[in-house]
Amino acid sequence: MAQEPKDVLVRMHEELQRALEKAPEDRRWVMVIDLRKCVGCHACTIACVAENKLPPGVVYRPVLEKETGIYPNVTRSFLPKPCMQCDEPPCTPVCPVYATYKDENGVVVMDYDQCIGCRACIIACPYSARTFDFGKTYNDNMPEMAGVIVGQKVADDYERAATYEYGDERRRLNRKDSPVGNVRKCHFCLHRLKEGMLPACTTTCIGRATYFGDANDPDSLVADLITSSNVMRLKEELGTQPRVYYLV
Amino acid sequence: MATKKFDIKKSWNAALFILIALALLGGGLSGLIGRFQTGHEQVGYGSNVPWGLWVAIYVYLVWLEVGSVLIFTTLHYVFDFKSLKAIKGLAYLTAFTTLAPALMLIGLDLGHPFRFMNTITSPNFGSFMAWMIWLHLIYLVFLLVKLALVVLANRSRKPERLNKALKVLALLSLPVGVALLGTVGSIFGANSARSFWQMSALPLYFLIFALVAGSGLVTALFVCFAPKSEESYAATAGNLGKLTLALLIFGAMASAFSGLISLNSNAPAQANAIQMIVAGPQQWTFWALYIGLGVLVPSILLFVWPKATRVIGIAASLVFVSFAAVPFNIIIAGQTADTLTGADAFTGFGLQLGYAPTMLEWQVVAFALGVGLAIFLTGYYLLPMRKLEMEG
Repeated sequence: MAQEPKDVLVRMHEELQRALEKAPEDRRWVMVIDLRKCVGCHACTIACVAENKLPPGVVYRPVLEKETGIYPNVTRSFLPKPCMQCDEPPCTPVCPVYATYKDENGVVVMDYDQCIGCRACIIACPYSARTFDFGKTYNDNMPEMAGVIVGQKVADDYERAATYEYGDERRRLNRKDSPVGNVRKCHFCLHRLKEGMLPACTTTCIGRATYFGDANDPDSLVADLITSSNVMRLKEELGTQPRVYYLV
Repeated sequence: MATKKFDIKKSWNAALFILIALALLGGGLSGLIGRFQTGHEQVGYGSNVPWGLWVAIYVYLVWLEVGSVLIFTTLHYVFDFKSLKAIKGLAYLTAFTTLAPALMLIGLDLGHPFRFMNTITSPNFGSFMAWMIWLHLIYLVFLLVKLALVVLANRSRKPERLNKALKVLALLSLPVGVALLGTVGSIFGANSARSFWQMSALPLYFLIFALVAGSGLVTALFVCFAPKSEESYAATAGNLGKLTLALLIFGAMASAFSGLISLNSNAPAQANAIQMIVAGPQQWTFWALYIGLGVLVPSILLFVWPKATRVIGIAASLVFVSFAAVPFNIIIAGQTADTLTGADAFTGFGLQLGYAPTMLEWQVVAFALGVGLAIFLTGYYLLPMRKLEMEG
């Protein structure tokens, strides 16, 4: 009797453990998004917001929507758009203080304590993958009605909960301290990868449309997928060599 | 045409300028306090248009600051326009007057203004922005030393050596100024993500625009402050007017050709940017400020009354003031033109696709300009400018 194929999440998880045994410079994290499977549920966006405690205006993983045709012949298509983690990123050389760079994993990261908040990297990114943390909170102007609604205090406690991006514990306790006033971006959930977990968007995708793994592992799912004939990358003509691939 | 001497030292003139400075400072103070209290929560720029009014005014002030000194130094020290010595101190004082609010605005635009020191302690010299910051600081030092030399020469009984040093320093600062303008232009021109900006000629355009705005400022300064008793006053004012007119027309034609290239480049994003400038929500800045008050009115005035010094002064003032619209249009349109399809699926604070400056942004600009005017008035009254005007 033929063995039932593994769920892709289980397979990717096993591949992740294998990749983590290698030296960082020997692995090549890539993400593959199957646009045919994306239903536009935005679960990945929400998972990312919850994982990284993202404030209003900061989005690491938007899902762009496009409507084509005229009623009744209308089609809706979706494009999840994390940071492309380009191998030739246009956003890093423009930083005047080396606050953003490709780390040993090949992921474009931010040094929040070094960033001066000039936003030159947002300007330079051809994929609009970076957003600025303006210091807003979701509970601004929320009323406090104890015993009636979840008021500002409770909501505020949640918003001040620590985020563990880049392995550092940070709480948004005031308007002065980072990451407020910094540019922020997707980092493939490096803090989760370090603990052997897949990025939040990948595990949350209800249609199994997002794949993640080490493209240097010839037996990995992503290595297989990126050699498909129906694979494409955004704005490839710019020569940025994105590490996010789309199946169309 | 007989002209009446404009003397700021007349008490009513001084009172007027002091009142304007106080109005700017008073009107802008709450905006400045708001900026420190609420950070970037009350601004109109966002993640799709990350650079707004403050960056545009910064660029404009850099054009004025460097352009005026380039024009003054070239005419006075290279082409030996002797009569310009009357405004030597004022030219440097005005440049410093524009530099101070420029640095203030760009500092307040940063998410972490107090980390500005990171650009000094750990600069990435592969970044045009790092170069801009360093060049601007070097330029600031040049300017302060030049201003100090002017004051010292004015107080000295034997100012020849100081004036010689001033000349050497002025000439040395020329390439620094050009490099600063080129670097600021390169910050925008090197962006492959912004098709409207991306062109190798953008730094050159910045140089042209700086010269136009700078010639307007130098001409206005000369007409207002140079002693009219000098024989060469009217002739020099006329020549400066002609120079301003020539540069103005050259700059306008360069802009027109640049716009036509963008419209006909078969790159929709570039054409979108031009459409945004001429027909977008901020079109008044292009039509009323730049084309109307910045090009047409001064061109007509300078063409019809080339020898009327007062008219030359008004036209030159219109040129340098209304040129604020140029960087605003270039910078905002360049960011709104390249929006990814479907990006409007995400809305919320900071994710808006367009841009309109908020009251807080205008207030901060007003405060910065008030600081500039206050520096000018303080320098004008406390430094021995008057003696300098007479003796050079």
